[in-house]
Amino acid sequence: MMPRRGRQFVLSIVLFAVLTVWSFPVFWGLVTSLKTDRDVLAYPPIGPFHPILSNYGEVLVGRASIVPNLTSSLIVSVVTTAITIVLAVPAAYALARLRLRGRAPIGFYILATQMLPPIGLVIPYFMIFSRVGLLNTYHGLILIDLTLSLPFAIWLLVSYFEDIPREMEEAALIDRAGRFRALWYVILPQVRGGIAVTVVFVFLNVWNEFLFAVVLGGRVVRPVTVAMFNFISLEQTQWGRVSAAAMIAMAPVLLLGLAAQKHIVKGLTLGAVKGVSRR
Amino acid sequence: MFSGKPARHRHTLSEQRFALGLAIPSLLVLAVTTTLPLCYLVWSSLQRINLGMSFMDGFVGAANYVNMTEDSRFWNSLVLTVEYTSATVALQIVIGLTLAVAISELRHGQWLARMVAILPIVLAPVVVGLFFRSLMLTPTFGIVDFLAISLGLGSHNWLGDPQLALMSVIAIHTWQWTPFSFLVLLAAMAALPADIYEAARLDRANAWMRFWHITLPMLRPAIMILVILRMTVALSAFAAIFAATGGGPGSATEILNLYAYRTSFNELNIGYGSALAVTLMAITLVISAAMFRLRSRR
Amino acid sequence: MSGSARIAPMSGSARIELRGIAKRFGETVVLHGIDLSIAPGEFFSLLGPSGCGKTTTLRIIAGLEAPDAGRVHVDGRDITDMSPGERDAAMVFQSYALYPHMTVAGNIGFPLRMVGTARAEIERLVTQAARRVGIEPLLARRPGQLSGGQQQRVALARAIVRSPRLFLLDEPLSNLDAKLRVQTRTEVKQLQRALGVTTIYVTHDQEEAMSLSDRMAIFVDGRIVQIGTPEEVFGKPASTTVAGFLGSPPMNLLPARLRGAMLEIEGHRLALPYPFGGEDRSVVAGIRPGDITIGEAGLPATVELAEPQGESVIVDLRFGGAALKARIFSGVRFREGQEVQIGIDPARVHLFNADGQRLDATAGASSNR
Repeated sequence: MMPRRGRQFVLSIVLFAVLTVWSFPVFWGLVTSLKTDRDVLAYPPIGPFHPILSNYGEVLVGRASIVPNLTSSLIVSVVTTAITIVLAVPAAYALARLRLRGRAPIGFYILATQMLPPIGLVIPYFMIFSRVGLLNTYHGLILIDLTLSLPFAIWLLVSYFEDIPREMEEAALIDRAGRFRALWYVILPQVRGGIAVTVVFVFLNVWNEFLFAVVLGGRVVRPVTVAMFNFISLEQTQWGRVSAAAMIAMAPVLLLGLAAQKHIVKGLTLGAVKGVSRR
Repeated sequence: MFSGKPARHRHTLSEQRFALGLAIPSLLVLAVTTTLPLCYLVWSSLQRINLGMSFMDGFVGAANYVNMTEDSRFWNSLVLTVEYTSATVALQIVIGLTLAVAISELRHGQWLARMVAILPIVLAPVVVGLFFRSLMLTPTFGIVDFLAISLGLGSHNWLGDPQLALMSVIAIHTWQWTPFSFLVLLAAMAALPADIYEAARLDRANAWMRFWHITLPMLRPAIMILVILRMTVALSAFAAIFAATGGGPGSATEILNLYAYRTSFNELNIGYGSALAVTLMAITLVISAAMFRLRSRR
Repeated sequence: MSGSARIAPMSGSARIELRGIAKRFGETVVLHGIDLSIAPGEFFSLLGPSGCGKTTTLRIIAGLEAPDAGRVHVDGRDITDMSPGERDAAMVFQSYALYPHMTVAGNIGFPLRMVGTARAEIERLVTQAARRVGIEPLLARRPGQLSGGQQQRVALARAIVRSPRLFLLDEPLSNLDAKLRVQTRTEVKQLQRALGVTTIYVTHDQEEAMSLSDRMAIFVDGRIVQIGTPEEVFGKPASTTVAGFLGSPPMNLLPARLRGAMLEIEGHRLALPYPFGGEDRSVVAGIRPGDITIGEAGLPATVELAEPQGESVIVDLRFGGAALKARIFSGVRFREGQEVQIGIDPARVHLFNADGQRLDATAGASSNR
């Protein structure tokens, strides 16, 4: 075959192509956010231009500021994540480690819930919420976001719990800890990493959520994913501002993603590849 | 000697009670937040509910479903869903696998690929749709169009041309989620035992044979689970298409998911929209069940 | 959770009794009715090949499994329904099961912490236990930073720190390399002697069981086939299974015919020192490799292979139609194909009937060997 060095060179080209294709849109969005509307429409699009910051200014402190939307997103994401973790951790432990009656059907139920197309939920939620006045409220949106997060979190956490050797609980029980303290003092500290990964994923999913936000939100509760459409109307699209808003909206998840990348990769692959050997 | 039933000692029972206590809050929340609304969905699919013309509301039994069978727009959406889902899943896996194989052999810089792979995954699909719509695929000043012109392919309305729109949204979805397959397969490949390859080398198997007869079969479980995961995501893809084309032009990218949304919230025909949603859910259930069975059988 | 019905701890060492313990996992019966009596302070081994039920028995005693039938008594009290935490038993797992997120000191002190011991007292007892097993300088480290042998000692320290009435050890040495295993074995025995705690030790290594135990029980397929001291079990195996299990190399077993006081093996006759009653029958004759001598005169055999072991040689012999192994300490070198004369002392031959059960001489004959 090809000599080793030649091969590595070709592979490096592949790497470069991959890097370009996957990072380009973000890069391009950044570039566009620094352009005036006229520069955006200029042809050819890769020509030099004079960068401006006014798009960001408009988007942050102008009349169309998306700061209230960032707040909306933050509230919904943080509260949903917190509730999800509190509920999912014990449930995942029970499913993974304890002799639970009906373990298989419960596991199946949780898996099925995770695979539901969200459209099937948002329609009845819309009807119910409009009757009980939960549209455009935080309670409402958080409630439906739980349907996204809870089964997913349980599924992910189960694989982390299963990673711990069975003897851990047994040793703790023999050491007179009792079931609850065995969980608290021995098992939980060992899944700290898994819980962190789950937090990241759940937060990400809720922050990026769109369908529920656009149907069930309103003027008060308007997450940042919906707010981006503020700058798009039938007459014109303010590309520069849209891009700036998108960059700001995505900044938290991008930073979170890059900071936790090792854990994210592990979490993705663990959930997917592990699920194989389990059943 | 044996009483026929398994042992039911005091501490086994207490374990079961403990387990139940831990799991019940989650199960309760799930039951309330998913199962109840789903029942409501099925119920409303049997009714005619039009938020704009509510004087016509009432129970109509299976009429919505009957009408569906004669609804050409429904069949169109079904076809589009099949095309969309199969195309993007196939592309994601093939491209992801190719990249995983290539990158796994790279001596330096694998970490770079892993890092960049995270970018498309953490972005909100709605943002991805907007980016592609506004920045990349717009005729003339979109960068993709610019490249196409430079390469002599001419300028096209990538999202506004009915012939190209489906292709474009498939490309968008594939762009965003191929990194996921890539990462999973890269990790799976790293976990493969090295000694099998050494034995194969000694048995004089060349690179292609090694890939086909060793790597691929051993990656099969990971690929199967990827197919299941990506398929369910593709079936319920919404935000990116909504942001990029809104389901159009016309109904050119109106997969069943989009159709149900538009029917319910643009045309306010919630009864029929519910029926469409129920249909989509049934399809998802059937396909997932089939895939799971396929996976566990072999 | 531990209730108030816990047995008072630190009451010396326990007397254990198992009556009719049976266990099934799904369709498979793992234990067929185990009866066992273990005296206080005894070092008692459960020995057998993998899958024979010895670990399950240990786990039932520990409370980690519930038996489907039978009761477990400790010091006369029925503890079968008690949770593991209430039994005042400490366990060392094959994998050690150390808590990776705690320091060594945290690991050892955990059982004390769980019953609310004062911190100063915990520190004192932990240091004491650590000193006893020789890991005092490691107290601030984490298990992940220790070698296998050190981890094993931490597990031991965690077990002894609470002065339990019962030690349960599940193949604690099997993850160590051979040399370390032998060395640690001696220390385990010394530790047990010093503490005087009743110890139940599960192993598949017959050498280990023989060197450590006061008494042992041999498990085969979920049943106990013999209980006795190492000498008894080695010197008077109750069946061919036991005979073939103990000793390295195991006992040679050959078909033979028994006529009163005469034994016929491979066409040769051996006069036994005492008569066995009953008529002519087929039996299985057993000879330990160490009981075969090679010398000037005896029965003819051919050397097939010689395996030097350092202090001795294992000689594979062809004796008529049978294959024999002999262990020779003389330092003589043997060639393949060499014709030799082997000596079999009739007094050291074991006899088993066609079902594999041990045959003993008729009354009046001494069966001490």
